[in-house]
Amino acid sequence: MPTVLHLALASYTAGIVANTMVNSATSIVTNNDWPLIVTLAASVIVGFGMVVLFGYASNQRAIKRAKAQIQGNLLAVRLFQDQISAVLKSYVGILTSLGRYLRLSFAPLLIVIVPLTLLITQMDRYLGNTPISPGKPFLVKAHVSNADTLSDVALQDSTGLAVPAQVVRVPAESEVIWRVDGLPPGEQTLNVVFGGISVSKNIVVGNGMARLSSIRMRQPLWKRWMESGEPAIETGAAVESIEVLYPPRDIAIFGFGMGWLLWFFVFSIIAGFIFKSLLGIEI
Amino acid sequence: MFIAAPHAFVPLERFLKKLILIMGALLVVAAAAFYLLHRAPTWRGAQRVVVLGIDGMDPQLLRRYMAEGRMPNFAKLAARGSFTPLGTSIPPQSPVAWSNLITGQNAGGHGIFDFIHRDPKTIGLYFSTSKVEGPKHSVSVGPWVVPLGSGTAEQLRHGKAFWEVLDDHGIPNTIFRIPANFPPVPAKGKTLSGMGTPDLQGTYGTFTFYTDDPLAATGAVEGGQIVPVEVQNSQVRANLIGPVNSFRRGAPAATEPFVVSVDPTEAAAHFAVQDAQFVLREGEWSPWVHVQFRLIPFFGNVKGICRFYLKQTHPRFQLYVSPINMDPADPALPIATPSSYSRDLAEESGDFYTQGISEDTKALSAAVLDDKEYLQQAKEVLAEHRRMFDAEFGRFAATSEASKAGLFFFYFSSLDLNSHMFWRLTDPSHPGYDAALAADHGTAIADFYVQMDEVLGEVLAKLDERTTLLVVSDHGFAPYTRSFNLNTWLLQQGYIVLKPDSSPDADSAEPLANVDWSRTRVYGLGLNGLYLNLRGRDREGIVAPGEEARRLMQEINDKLLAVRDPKNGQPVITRMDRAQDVYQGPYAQAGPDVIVGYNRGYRAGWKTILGGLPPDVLEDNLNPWSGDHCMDYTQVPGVLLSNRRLRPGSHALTDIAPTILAEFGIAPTPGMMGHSVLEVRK
Repeated sequence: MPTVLHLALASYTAGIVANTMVNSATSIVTNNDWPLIVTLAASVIVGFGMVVLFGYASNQRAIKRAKAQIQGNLLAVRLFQDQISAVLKSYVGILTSLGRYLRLSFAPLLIVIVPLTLLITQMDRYLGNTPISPGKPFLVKAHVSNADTLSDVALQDSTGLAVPAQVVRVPAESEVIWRVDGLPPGEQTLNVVFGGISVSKNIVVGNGMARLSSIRMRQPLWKRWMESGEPAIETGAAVESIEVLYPPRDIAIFGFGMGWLLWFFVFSIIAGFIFKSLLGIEI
Repeated sequence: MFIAAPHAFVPLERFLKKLILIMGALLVVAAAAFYLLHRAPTWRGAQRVVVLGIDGMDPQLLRRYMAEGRMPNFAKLAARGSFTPLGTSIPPQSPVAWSNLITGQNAGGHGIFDFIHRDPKTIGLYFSTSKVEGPKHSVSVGPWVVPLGSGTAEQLRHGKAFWEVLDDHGIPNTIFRIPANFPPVPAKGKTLSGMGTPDLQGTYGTFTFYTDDPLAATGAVEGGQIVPVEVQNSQVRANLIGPVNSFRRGAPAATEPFVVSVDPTEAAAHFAVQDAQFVLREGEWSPWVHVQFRLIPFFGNVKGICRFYLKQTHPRFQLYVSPINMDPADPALPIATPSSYSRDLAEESGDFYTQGISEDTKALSAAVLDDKEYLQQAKEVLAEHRRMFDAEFGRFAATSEASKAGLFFFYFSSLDLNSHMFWRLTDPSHPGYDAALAADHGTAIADFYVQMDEVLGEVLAKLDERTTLLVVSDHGFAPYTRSFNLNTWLLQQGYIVLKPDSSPDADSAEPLANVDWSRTRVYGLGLNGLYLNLRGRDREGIVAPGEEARRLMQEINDKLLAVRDPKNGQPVITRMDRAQDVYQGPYAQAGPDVIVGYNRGYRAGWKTILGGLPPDVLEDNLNPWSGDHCMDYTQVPGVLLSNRRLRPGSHALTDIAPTILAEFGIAPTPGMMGHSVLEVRK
């Protein structure tokens, strides 16, 4: 009887899990939930790639040995718990092996982290924020070099016409902020004009996924790589940066929403553990 | 190291295994039996019931607006179905009245007698419908307080709600924002709590007003607080005031900073509130802004939502911030069943006011918002409710299987609160009448009635033969022109006696401060409550129960009914109901001894309600809160409309629960006083 009950319970649970997964998958596909699909796909690919890269970049035999020594010492602690000297010796062994393991993992991790960071910054362009909704208000912020000139900074569209917007000048931050009351869908260009020099900023209005650059700035290449996706502002312009405040994107799974990066970490770690076992790579 | 011989334990191990298996099997069988016995039967009926609960809809106003052609849908319903005044509760206050409707019992059965109750042992006041308490025990560690246990939110209404009975019979139901249901009673259907639900500060709604005006009064005002700020380099740095942080010694309010950057010349400002940034022009409201109050760094957060209204930028900075409401997506206290329902509503219809009384009447009374600004806020509240109504009723109406529809109840607060606030602009004889304001907003009440007509139109369009529609209000409305300070009258008549060398205190936070209880025989608390200082019940009671109490009540009764307003010679009080005569049930003795029924146009004064002793017995009501219903209950009946024929005779709020149950073939539960108001279908 218990066996039947266990089987029934197990099959019932499996049924619920399978049903939930099928429903979720169907919902994702039918709703064209591309951010979630991309996040899941990227997590799996990155999880695989990182494990393979780690495998190549690391001394697998040495890592295996260090982990085995940690396990051996842990076992010794359990077996000889009434012999204090053996226990202390094992603890020293655990710490030594752990240090060795961390040293062996550090260099390959560094090799893995560099491309991963670069990849994440680029993925964030697509997944971190949503485009501006058509017709919905949004903020544009321009940072200028001289707070005394804030009154002379204007916002224009690509044809040179003033964009209908409510302006707020913030001398304390050397910033001009516009609330633009809505733009039609598509890729738009706004120009911040001061002293005859116009600095353009692209804006994506629409739904779904698009490559978004929140800020255009003058800073060096590495900083622009991390934060921007547009060419540097010319050095002669008084405008130092132009920022569009895109709404942050939440990705919901089972009704629980959070940023793509957290999902990415969760799923890539799961994928990494699965591939590690399948490929026999020690991490 | 000890290593046991394994063979020695084999029989014991087998026995234990068998025992565990048998116990497990018994547990499964018991669980299955419990489930089968307690599960709700599956409802297979085809009947549907829709109830629109419209707080404060007045039969006289409704008749007038129908006659004027402003409410064609109500006129159609009244003509084809039924329309009658509906007997309200004693006293006719919303928490009491809706509890009557919910339970089918009067206050003696459900124990709600007023908005506020008093503890006879301390004369301390508390909200009548719910009690929210922190953990009982805690340990202090430095500036921190570690709670030992969790806090509680307790509903104080007694009696079984009609939807609990429906649940017992497996009938699906949706109960939207019904008053006196916070925290919501456990239910299988979808419920969202309404009036009585607090804001994050634990009050019925506390706004904050930030200003750099040196002439503005600062500090706490009724329903809010005024915070002085400085504009430095065109920026204002201030704090949002959140919930009490019970994790800190002294339980200070948790705060979160925000920055407002005011344009040096234009009437606009930029706001930065945690992750949110937005720009407002003068006279604009922000959308809902999400705020997290950090009670414990990196660990304990409470989520709230609020709206900003930029009243003025130059020459003086004036910013109104709504009460911080619980975030419906993650409420700090239970507000819905299932708990995910409020989140689902927010996802579908956007964020919404979760506090029970959403219209910020206190801000208008405190002149923080003017009539136009308040009206705008009140309209947005109704728009929010209508959005949710459209979504929820649309889903109900589209349910193709009748047995999965059941009951749909939706509550609207707009007529009540806006009749309170705009009555003065409809009545030139009201002391608060202002011709200029009346020209602008004199139709505000009528406009809200018209919106209710639109809602009814949506319902009528989707009504079929198997659906019973009930439109119910808890009470009607009347002007509130004059305040009667009951405690001042009792003081003058010698029923309240002050301590030697003390003077009456109108504004004390303590109810009935300076009262000598050893010589005080009667006192008033709440909107309609009159209490004897009864020996054995009250802390320092001196009136003997029985004959002495009866004689005293009769004496007071006669004197109060004889009070005339020197301004016009009208009686101020037209009814005095003794609790023992009008209440039935286990809590009949728990409330006031006498319920004071004020004449139309009169009400208990603002300060006397909380035990204050203002100098005058009668005074003009100049507060924008200018219409009311906390009077003689016979003068402010509610309304009952239905698409079905009503039984002849008069009907009351206590009949509504039995009516709903009867529609699903369920007999009234023990304690229910009423009967179905509907004629039996032929």
